[in-house]
Amino acid sequence: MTIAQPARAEGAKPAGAILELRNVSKSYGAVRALRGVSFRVARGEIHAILGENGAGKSTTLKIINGEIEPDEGEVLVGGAVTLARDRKAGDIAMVHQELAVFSNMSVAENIFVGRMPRRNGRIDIARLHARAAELLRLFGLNIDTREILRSLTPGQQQIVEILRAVESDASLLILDEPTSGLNNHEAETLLSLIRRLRDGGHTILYVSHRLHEVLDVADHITVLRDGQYVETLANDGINEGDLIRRMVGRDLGPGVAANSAMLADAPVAFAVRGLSMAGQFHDMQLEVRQGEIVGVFGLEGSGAEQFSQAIFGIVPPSSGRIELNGRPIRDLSPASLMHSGMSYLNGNRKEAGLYMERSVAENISAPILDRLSRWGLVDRRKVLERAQEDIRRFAIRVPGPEGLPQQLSGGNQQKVMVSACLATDPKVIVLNEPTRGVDVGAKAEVHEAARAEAAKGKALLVFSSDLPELLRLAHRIVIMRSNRLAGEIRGVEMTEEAVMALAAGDR
Amino acid sequence: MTPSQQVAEGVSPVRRFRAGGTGGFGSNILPLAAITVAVAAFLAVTQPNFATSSNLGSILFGVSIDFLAIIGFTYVMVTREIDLSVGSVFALTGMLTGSLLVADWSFWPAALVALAVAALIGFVNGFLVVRFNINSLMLTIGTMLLVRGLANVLANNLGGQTYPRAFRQFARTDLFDIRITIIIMLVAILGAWVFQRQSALFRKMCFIGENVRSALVHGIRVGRIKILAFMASSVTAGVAGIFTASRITHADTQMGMGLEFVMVTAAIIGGASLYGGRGDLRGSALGLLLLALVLNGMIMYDIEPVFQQFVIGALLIATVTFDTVLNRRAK
Repeated sequence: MTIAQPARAEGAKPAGAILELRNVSKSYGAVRALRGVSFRVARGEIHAILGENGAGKSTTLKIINGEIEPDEGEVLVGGAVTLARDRKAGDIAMVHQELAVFSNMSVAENIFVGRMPRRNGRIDIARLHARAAELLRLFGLNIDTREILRSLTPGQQQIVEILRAVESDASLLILDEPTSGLNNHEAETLLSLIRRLRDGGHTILYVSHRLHEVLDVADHITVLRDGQYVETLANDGINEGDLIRRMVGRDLGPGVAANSAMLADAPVAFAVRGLSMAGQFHDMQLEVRQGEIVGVFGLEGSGAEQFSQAIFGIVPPSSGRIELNGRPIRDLSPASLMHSGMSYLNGNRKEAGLYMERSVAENISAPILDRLSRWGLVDRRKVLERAQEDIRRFAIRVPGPEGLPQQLSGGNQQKVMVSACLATDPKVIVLNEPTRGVDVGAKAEVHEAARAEAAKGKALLVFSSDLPELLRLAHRIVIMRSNRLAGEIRGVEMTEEAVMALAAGDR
Repeated sequence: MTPSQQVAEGVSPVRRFRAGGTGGFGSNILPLAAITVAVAAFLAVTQPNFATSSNLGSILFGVSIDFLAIIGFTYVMVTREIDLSVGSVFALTGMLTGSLLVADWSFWPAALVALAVAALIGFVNGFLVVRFNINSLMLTIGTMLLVRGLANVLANNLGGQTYPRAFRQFARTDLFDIRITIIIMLVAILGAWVFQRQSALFRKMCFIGENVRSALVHGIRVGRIKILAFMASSVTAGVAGIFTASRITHADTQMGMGLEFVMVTAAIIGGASLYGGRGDLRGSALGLLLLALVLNGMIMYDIEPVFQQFVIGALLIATVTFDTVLNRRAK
């Protein structure tokens, strides 16, 4: 087999490269998702792409799959430069992380959807099932072709979806986190299917957070970090530690020299006791003291995102308790938690946290309308004053308090959202991806605001997929893996390696 | 799923127009008033019977009663829900009041009981929408049919019997020589002006309508406010129903038929949106007036009355199309 090496030098390309990226870059607004990424995938291999959240994996896959066009660079398929629409129409098939199956149709119909064998203009049902059965047998799978998809396990459904891609005669299969949501046994079956596909001549591009799976199945592993290509490794004799080091890469100086010993005496401001939500997270325990910044880190699918929403009652947890200043909160609705002194920054400002068609002043005053009102009537002067104060405090670049958020840059939108979040003068602050998609300057300002709140004795809980951010901001980091608490790291032990080992490791 | 929000330097004219409905609150009232005046002027010039005090008086009287019903309806739309049961609740409340009066109740207890029933229907609408996250369009079609069934039972029981004389006179109560409903309308418009400009509640409704998840994150009691809006919708429809029952003097199965569609059209013309976050009671009133003028003009021009439904339908399609296109471009 031809070895895929990074195409640093513009030499003769190996005959076996089915896919090659040359200097591919892509930006979303101010955010540079990919910067000059180049690598090769050899024909007939399993090639894994590895990286932290935000390393650029999804963008890379979308470009390869022809969903988006890169800003710069070329994508070669079978040695020829291609456009996104050619790749979309061509023989590349992608199985997305989320299942896209027809739950009420049979296995055979799901595999052959859109390409059902026909006879005299009608679907040839006998042949449909015969061909599906043949395909399943080929891969040693014991599934009835007439079974309705809904009644299969998630693992079997995932397999059906992969077979659909296989059946489309695609020579390059992209599998995005195919084992997330599967148990070990199901994942094992899936991995052996992937091996059989490779042995049958397919090329597979495999993305997963599970390092041991990648080491188990991949021939080559390309590591991305911060939107940049790091290295393509041949999978012989490397271990998880080698991969984590490359995913994490840089050596950051020590974060804020946080003195957690001093905080140990502070009263517990916020506590989570045995919080669970079926299928999302189990038995979560957490305490945050006054003045403390606690980071929560989990890779996609770890349940961290759902956990962040549950502690503010946006999606109610199924069991467990939340305590504020030692007092259990009975009504776990956002309004009630906010009334008890909690506040929440939504993780995705496009989805929630702002009102794009309302003025910056109205946005900032949204959580405190009642306080700015008398007899139910809003004091418009107070609203404006309040907004002007925050515009100064957070250096929000806006024409004036009457400007609309949709006119602002991402960083300034984020600062408006942070202003609204802090407007209630909360005692417990949950920040979710506080600097997602903002520029470096705004990021520093948001971090400064968070530290200032902690210095005032507020308890902060920060959820972020940006690990360096947590290392710089938090006094300690709580790590989630497979819908559970995986551990906690504090003080000088907080390194990217240590966190990633807990978040992605085997146990 | 949401189309990516562009961070544009300038703001497109469409956005500015949209923002006008919220930020520069009420800025589309003037153009609407101008159109309404133009239609009235056209009719006054072309039809001698139009500009008579009796014709104008009866148009205004009719509009002022429908206006009572559109108060709550408009605010339900602001929260990005809709209440299509208003026409049926309107009929049920009016006929229930009439039935109780026929059964020798005195007026105030009868009206209060009927309004309490209306409030209960509104509560059920709101509760189901909030608790089970049901699409209010479909849910209130259900309530519309159900409540219409109840109203028809009352109509059959009364069998065309006229209401007691005192009740028949009720809608014709005058204050300073003007129908009381017209006075109520003027007072309510002034109240709405303050409510929409200043009240914390109205702002919260707009927040809910524009982005319900943001409202939730900001600790706004979304469920409570939506239920309140649905109750207000039913109660204001009920008040209008009581006046209407008095005005038409007997139980009529046609009462309030299709009223919900007149309401949607008038509210959107007046600045509300199917996509929530906006709404202006003054505009709704002008919308109702404009529709009433158009229908009145059709009668003046001897156009078949059956054509009225056609026109209402056409206007409804036109307004929701306009609303949707504007909304999409603003996004």
